[in-house]
Amino acid sequence: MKKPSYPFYIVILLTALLGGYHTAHASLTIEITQGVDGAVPIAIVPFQWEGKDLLPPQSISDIIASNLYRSGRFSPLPERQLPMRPGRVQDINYAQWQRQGIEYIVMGSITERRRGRYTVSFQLLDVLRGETEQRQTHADNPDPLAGEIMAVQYTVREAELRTLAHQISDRVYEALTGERGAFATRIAYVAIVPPKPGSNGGERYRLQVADSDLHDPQVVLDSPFPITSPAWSPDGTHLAYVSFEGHRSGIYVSNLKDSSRELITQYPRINGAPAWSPDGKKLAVVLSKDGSPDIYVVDIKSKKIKKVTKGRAIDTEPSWLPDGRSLLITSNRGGKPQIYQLSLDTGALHRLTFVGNYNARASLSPRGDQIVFVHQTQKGFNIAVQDVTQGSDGVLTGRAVQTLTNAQFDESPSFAPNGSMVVYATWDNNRRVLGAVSVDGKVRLSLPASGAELKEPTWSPFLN
Amino acid sequence: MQMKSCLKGLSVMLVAFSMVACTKGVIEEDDVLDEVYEGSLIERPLMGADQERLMATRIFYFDFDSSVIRPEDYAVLDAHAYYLIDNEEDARVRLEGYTDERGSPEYNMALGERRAQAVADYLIAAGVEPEQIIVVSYGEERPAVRGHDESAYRMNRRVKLVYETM
Repeated sequence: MKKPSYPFYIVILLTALLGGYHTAHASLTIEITQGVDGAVPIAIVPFQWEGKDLLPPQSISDIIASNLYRSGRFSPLPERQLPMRPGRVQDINYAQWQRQGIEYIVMGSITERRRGRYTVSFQLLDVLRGETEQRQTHADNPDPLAGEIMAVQYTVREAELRTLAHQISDRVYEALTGERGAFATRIAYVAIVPPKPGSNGGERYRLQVADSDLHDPQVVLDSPFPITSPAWSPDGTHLAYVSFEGHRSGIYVSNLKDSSRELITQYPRINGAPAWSPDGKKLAVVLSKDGSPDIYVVDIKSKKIKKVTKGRAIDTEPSWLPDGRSLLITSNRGGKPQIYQLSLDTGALHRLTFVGNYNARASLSPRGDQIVFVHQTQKGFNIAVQDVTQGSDGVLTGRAVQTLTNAQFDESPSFAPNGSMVVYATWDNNRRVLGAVSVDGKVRLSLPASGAELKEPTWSPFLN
Repeated sequence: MQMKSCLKGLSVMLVAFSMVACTKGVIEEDDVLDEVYEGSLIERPLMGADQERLMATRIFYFDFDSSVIRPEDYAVLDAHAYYLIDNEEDARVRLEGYTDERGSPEYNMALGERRAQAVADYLIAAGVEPEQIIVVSYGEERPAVRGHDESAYRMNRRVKLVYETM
């Protein structure tokens, strides 16, 4: 039997998925840079559908398969190579699946209870254990629980089916890797929409929030003026960002539930790079009202500002460390932009990056063992990680640098909340697109969106 | 409208300059100078009709990673400076700083401001009141030219001078 070609399969699968939302131009580039050695073979059986229409409103199995594939940790079996499409555990001939090298099976059902209400159930099955357990029971009375790792049932509305597919993906991912899944999260980014041909309007900027696979984008703000620098509040309920409406930069906070928004700072000149403190009460921002860009901490409630860097150098791109007592910043005080750790208690600065002439926009991984940043290479600007260790005094020390991407211009890296992937902005065929790369650099992919250029992705915290 | 008042200002200047020229080296007409310069003693060359032509240029380009104004832009900036000085009451200018797309967007925001500030510093040194100038950096946003090569980047590393209507 011919060996399955996973990347090809996924291209087809995801293009089909995108077809429902994007226009015909949508295409997907997935590049598995170092192969998927060690990726776990898994079969996602199309969920059984019971309802009035021919097809369910969402193909939950397709969403799960593409999620697991994008993680780089799994090789979902192409649908046409499934040995069978069982509806119940009793119908599974585990030995046959095992011969095909499948280690796990996800199967389930979607049932329309009444218009717009669905019951969804899924099972995660271990092929090896199932085969053993089936052998130990009589064929006339098969074990309905053979190989079962997990079985869950949900009742949801139609609009919740996609989110549910991501949550099921998270459950499967966590059960099989031991690491929390981050599929049921969201990504905020800026979309630059070109003017319609023939219209004399200019381009529009949109602050958007989409699922972690970039589906279902929702517009938070639409403006003829640039929007930049989206940042999630730690509880995932608000976005801070910079808007240039009226040709003045201002830092705003929007509530994602009711769309209300509040102006936080609008000083002369730069108001930029907002970053939420871990307790959600403050923003680290960049203001240049005193002549050069410096870092300030703003109390969101009182709007009181406190300046925390000074001098003629450019200080920018603050991000908080989890204890809320220091920031990572980009500063060119040494001549070229490098990453520094700024203690908010003492004002002390410790330089963290020493490899290369340009290191910017750093943030600490959720595990606290790496920073990700923009790193100038011979090729251009790429996303790199550097291992770090934290001393008892809280000061980080950098170790080896590993470059994760290799396009000409990669920027704005942001960790998934489980630390497994980094989303970033890049170019594909002369278009601004978002890319994602696994933290080991082995899996890299980009998702072009038709019609708009996408910038400055930022991954939400866990939302449930 | 603004141009008209500018030319009116110029004609006053021309009179003043011709008087200075006549008494070169023997500056005795203090009261005349005071009237024109309002206390400032910055020398300014005669521009005449050149000013309007020069002021048509409102975009200033920069080298890579540089916020140094190119010498060929001095005359144009002088023309804008004199206009702003002559119309201190009602002329305001917005200096928009831009970068090319390479590098981190937030860092580019700071670089764009460096460029706009360099132009602001030049105008202020020429005698323009700081209150007449608003500096805003758009960084790599709103590129003048879409493209990913040096010919596009050259056009995008710029400061745009915009007269704000009051």
